[in-house]
Amino acid sequence: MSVSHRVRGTSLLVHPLPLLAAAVLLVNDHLLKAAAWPSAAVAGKLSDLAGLFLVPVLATALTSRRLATAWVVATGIGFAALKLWPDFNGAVEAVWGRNALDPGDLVCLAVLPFSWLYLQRGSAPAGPLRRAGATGIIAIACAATPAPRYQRDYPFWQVTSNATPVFHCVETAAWVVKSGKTGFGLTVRLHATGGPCSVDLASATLRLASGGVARGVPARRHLELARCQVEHVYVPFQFDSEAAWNLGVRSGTIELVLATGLARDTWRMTAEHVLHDYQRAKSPPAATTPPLSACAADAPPPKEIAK
Amino acid sequence: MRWLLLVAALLAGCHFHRDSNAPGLSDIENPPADPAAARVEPEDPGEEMLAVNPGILAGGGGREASPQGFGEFGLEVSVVRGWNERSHIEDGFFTYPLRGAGAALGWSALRLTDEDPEMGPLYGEVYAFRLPWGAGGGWAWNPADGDHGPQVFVSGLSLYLRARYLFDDGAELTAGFQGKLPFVWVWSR
Repeated sequence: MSVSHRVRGTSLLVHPLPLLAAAVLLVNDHLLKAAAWPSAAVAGKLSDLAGLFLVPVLATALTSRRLATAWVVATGIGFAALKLWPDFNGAVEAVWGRNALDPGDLVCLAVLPFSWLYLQRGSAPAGPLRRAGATGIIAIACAATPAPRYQRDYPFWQVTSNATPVFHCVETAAWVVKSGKTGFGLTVRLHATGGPCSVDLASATLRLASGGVARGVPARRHLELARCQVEHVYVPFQFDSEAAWNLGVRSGTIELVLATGLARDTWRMTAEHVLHDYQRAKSPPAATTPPLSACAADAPPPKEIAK
Repeated sequence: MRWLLLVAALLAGCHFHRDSNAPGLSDIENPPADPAAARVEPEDPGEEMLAVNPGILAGGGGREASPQGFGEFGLEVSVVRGWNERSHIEDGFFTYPLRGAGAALGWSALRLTDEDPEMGPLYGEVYAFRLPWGAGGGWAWNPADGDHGPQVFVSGLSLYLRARYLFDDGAELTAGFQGKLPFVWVWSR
């Protein structure tokens, strides 16, 4: 009995419609999406349409025709959840790769009635080789659903507070410019907005949340800045950042001691080691640095007042 | 069986990410070429992988014992530890290590001969691979008659060639196709 059901079930797949949908899925996912042709939006919708048609057909073929309506409904609910529910989308992405959380894609649900109509028709018996071939092609097309190009992402230390304080004659900014297994490198920007300024970077210390301490070694310790001059100082903190990551130690405090003229200040910033996702888009938004404030010497010369 | 097929179809080629060793490679000691750069991207350290591969074997062979020719269907599950120099891209089709080593348990479950069908031996193997090639060896034991002996194999893509010497039945050579559905756990090197 079960053999006879299976024969009838997978015969559903030996038909130009599901095979055409599988071909669309494969060509679109592997060629058109990568080329964003005719546009990224159209290429994305094409995959959703083909996939929504195929999934209930494949599921019905591999289970029972009695479940056809249930599979169509389940596919619709699953797709809606994928496009609307961030937690579900995240869980699916973790297993199957990127999938846009885009309510606009719900328009593709319109294909489900056609899938249901297809499942209501009778199917001609097909030989075992044709059934196995069609099942294999369609299963591969359903499993191989690449999204736009992604690449691996890495955890990166980030300054999360007090990144742009002012110390007497100098405005400062700091950001992590390098981050890896052996520590991170901090760029400190000094902007002499308060007139000529003498700055000493007396010490740099990273205190990890675990209690571990790493000393930073500024590339330059003493700077004589002219009015409105901007200088960048690189401060590497070398430590076993990979071990800290693996132990769950992902935050710390950076302390820079600055002497400006006769004043001596301790600049404390919090830092966190952040990984957004295992993979990210290959063309992420460009990283930016804190904006540089205007300085009197940067400003255009005052216009002469017409007499 | 149909439900098993459905689950297999849905999970074929699945992989799962772990965030161990996640930081990338970066020259921390030296400053960036552009002193005002906002960010220097880390470099790729590559990936480690652990793959569990259940699958089937189908082929045929010949042996010294009678009947000499037979067709063979078997089951095998292997566990592989491997690595790749470069990390996978999420939209790649299958994520699998290009090189590594592993161990397999298999069963030449059904042998079709001119006479009655018979049950073939169980076996355990260790092997190394560098795709598309693999080679290894192990020990076979036939629960039907207790016969046992060493075996070796080579594989190329999905094809295998296995030689076995059972102390009572003598030598046998089998070749065929192996199809596996890998489940892969991926983390950074």
